Amino acid sequence: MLRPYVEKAFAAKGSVMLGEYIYPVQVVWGRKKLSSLDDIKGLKLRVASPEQGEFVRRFGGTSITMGAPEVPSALDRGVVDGIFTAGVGAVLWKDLLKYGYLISVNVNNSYVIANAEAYRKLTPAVQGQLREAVVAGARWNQDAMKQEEGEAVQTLTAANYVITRATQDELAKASATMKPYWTEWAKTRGPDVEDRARQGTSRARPVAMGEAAGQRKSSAALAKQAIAETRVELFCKGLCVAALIVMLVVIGTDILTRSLLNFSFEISDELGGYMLVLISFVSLSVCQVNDSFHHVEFVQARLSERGRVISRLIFDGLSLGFALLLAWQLVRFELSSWRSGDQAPTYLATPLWLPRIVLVIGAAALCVSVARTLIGHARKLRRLTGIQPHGS
Amino acid sequence: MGPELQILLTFALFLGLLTAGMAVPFAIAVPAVVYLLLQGGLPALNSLGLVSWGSMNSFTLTCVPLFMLMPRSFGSAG
Repeated sequence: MLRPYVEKAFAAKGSVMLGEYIYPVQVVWGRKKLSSLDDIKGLKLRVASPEQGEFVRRFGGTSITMGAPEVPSALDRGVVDGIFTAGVGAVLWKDLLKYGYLISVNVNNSYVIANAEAYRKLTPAVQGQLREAVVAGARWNQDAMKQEEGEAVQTLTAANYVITRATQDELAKASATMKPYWTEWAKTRGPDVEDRARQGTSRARPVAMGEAAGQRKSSAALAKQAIAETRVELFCKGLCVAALIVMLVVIGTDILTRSLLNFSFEISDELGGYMLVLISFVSLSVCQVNDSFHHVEFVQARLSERGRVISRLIFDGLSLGFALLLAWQLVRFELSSWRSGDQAPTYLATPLWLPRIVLVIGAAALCVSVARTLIGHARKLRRLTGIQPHGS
Repeated sequence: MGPELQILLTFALFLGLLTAGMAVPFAIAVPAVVYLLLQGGLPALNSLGLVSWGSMNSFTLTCVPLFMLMPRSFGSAG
């Protein structure tokens, strides 16, 4: 199902996908009672992906991310109450866990890839042999892991683990709870993924399906994006990219001329500072619509979806107030720079109103983006409360 | 309202907004503006422009975006 999309993503990075295999399904293991979806409420669970984190939050738990080496001590000290892993993973920490709740949360994929250029240099016969070898190896890998998974569950059962398999009703409930999330998730991954998600909506999905290779985004917060980027944000993003390039060129040139020619243009300090101001202010609106700002999840994780949307609305209102105030003050600051004719005390003697105008652009774009976020959350709240807008 | 109470109120507001889940930059900015208003009313906001400009116009801080660009470049380079 995913293969054409994954092949395309790898091809874009100059790689050829030769084969794939999947790891055993990820389920939930706990120190405390964990035999149903309701038991997730109030538990602190270590997750390995933003999607698993969303799953935990939607059932009232708190998601925690940490590296695998920290897991045993975190379980031992009660920093986390449980983890997401397959049975083979749980066996490693079997003395620290007691409950296994076998609900198909997601599967992790692994891909065998080759450098496309090197692959093309092979004769067709060798290419075929290579593919066959990879497919056979991948199949063996998958089968061996499946067998080990079965043995792991038996080992844990023998160790007096309380193992509960999720019922069909629970699976349906988990899928229904996560379903709205996938629409939002797909929007953040581009048209290919959105298209695939639309086609796959009628199929049963693992409740917190893993991501396809090449499409992973670094920020967990992106998974919560509700607002698409428009011209305002795209323009701001373009400005930031341009500023970064200017910064690189100016600083890079200065480094070269200083080290090779013992000469400096003496403008890198000034221009670098201006570019930094531009990036800092103009990127605010992009961060706002992408929900890239950090949040403390302590209280949010304990709220219902409606509660979260209401709180976001309040925050958006406060943020908009601040953004408007900032924009107002920055416009005054810009006008004052223009009127006074201030110049930078540097070699370029730049009229300061010129670089300072980016403050106004950034603050104005932020106002627009915060207002759009506020409208987006208001619509979401309206959907959740079942009130339809007039004429719809 | 005494200055101690103003600081206490601002700090409580900051902690409240932060733990409630407001975006961290706004959770810092909103109480800061409230404090400015408590301290000197609307005229106190005049400093916002100069402080915003002065704090970010720093060559030393240019290493931050460049440092963030570096791993992105390495990641994309395969």
